[in-house]
Amino acid sequence: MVPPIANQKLKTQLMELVEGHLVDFGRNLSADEDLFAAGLESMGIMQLIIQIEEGHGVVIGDADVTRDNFVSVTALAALVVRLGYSCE
Amino acid sequence: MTSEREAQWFSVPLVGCDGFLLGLEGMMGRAGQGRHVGLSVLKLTGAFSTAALRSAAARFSRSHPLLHARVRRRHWFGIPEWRAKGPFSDEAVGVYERPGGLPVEEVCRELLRAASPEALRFEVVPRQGGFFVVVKWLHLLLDGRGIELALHEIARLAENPLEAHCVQESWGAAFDLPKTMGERRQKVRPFVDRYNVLKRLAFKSLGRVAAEPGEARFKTIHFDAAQSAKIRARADHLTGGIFQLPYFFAVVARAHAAVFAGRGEPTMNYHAAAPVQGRRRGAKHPIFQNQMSQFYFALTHEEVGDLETAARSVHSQFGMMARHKVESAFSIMLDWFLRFPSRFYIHLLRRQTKGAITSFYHSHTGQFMPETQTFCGAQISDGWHIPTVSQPPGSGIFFSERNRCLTATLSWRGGVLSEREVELMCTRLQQDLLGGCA
Repeated sequence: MVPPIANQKLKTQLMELVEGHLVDFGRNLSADEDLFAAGLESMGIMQLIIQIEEGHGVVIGDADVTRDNFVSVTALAALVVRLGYSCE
Repeated sequence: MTSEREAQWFSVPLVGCDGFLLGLEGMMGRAGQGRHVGLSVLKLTGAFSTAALRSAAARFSRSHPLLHARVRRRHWFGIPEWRAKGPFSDEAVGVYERPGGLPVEEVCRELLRAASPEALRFEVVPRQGGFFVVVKWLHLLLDGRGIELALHEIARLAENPLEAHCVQESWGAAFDLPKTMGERRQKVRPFVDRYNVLKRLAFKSLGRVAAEPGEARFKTIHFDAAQSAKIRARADHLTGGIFQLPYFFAVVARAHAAVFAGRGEPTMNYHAAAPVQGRRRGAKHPIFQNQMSQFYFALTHEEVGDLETAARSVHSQFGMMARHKVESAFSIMLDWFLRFPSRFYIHLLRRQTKGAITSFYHSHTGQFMPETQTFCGAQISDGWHIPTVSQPPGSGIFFSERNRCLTATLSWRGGVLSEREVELMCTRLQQDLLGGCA
């Protein structure tokens, strides 16, 4: 079980990656917002994967690159934790 | 009254893929293929106001210097520039009306055959229950996403008839370039390495190596909502529901393989680029100039033999190129080549590819005008692009979606494909997309 504060920190980091480096939404993004509906596209997802792997020390395999895992920042955070990233 | 700002000279350097398009257009012009144009078709339902379109088009024309500009170089190795002097008239965007009942495909064919003086040209074609609006545009001036942004802006102006024209800067590069030459040399390496690997693969295009005259031809295939859902499900099965490019690229390669097989060349390899759009959905980006880079894919004839194998190979190449930032590296390369005469650029490219340039052209532009629901009073019920292709390579297949319905456009140059070969290509395309025996 991930402590809520640590999980919130991870979500904030992921949100910064999405907002700051990938997609200019022109407004604040919420953790549960559908990233595909908000404009996240193939190239952005690929860059996001690379940045998460480099920044969080996890390996996102082909089988993990699914719509469900990338649909929101919350889903992404769950994936990163499942892949072994420690929020501590 | 003309303001000081409106009366000035505008000078905008070409960026990135513009250089490739400039070279390509030069080759096409010398071969008698005309300019590199594209068409976009809006299918509208309900009441449409041609007067609103005329007013919006006039203000759009006066607001955008690039619609009036010509490409010039200041000196032999200078970067080519768009140059125009204000104030700008409303004549760069033409609006014409056609009689009712005319098939929209016929209007499109006529537009592709005729040269237009305007940078943008609208044809309004009445149909049962609504209208078609066909837009003709110059690929050197904007790309497929750019024309969607231009149409969105015209739709916005039509909704605001009292908004006066305002000269705007809507150009620029979507990909950042490193500042120092040393950094550029280092960052261009992934493209050079990738290209050196790919050029060892022997490939051909369906068109002849020599650039020859031939009219731009096309065929559109519209898939209904149920068919499109089936196609998405098949793509999702192979791509995890995220990366559709590998699936559609593989489908296009296999449609070309069907024609090569019909010509007695079943062991053909494929080498083609897919555009990487620099603009992000929902963000404010320039309307004009080609804001694209490219990824380069190769498929061997063994891989093309099976759709799943081909899609997985493209997927793996996509991941590898994204990790190595090949799209950024290619942008640096394009920026260097902008300084060379465009004829030299195309000559070099053709030498590297034994004249073919690429096996085929391909793109999937995603949702067609997702941020726009109405156009000059009418509902947009469907929309698609009809890009044209140069010869060589002579053929290409392009996709887009509107309201969850997919449209595929086959484009080729007259003389490249026979009627039977077009049918072969369509049959394989539909079998691969919808499932069935190939």
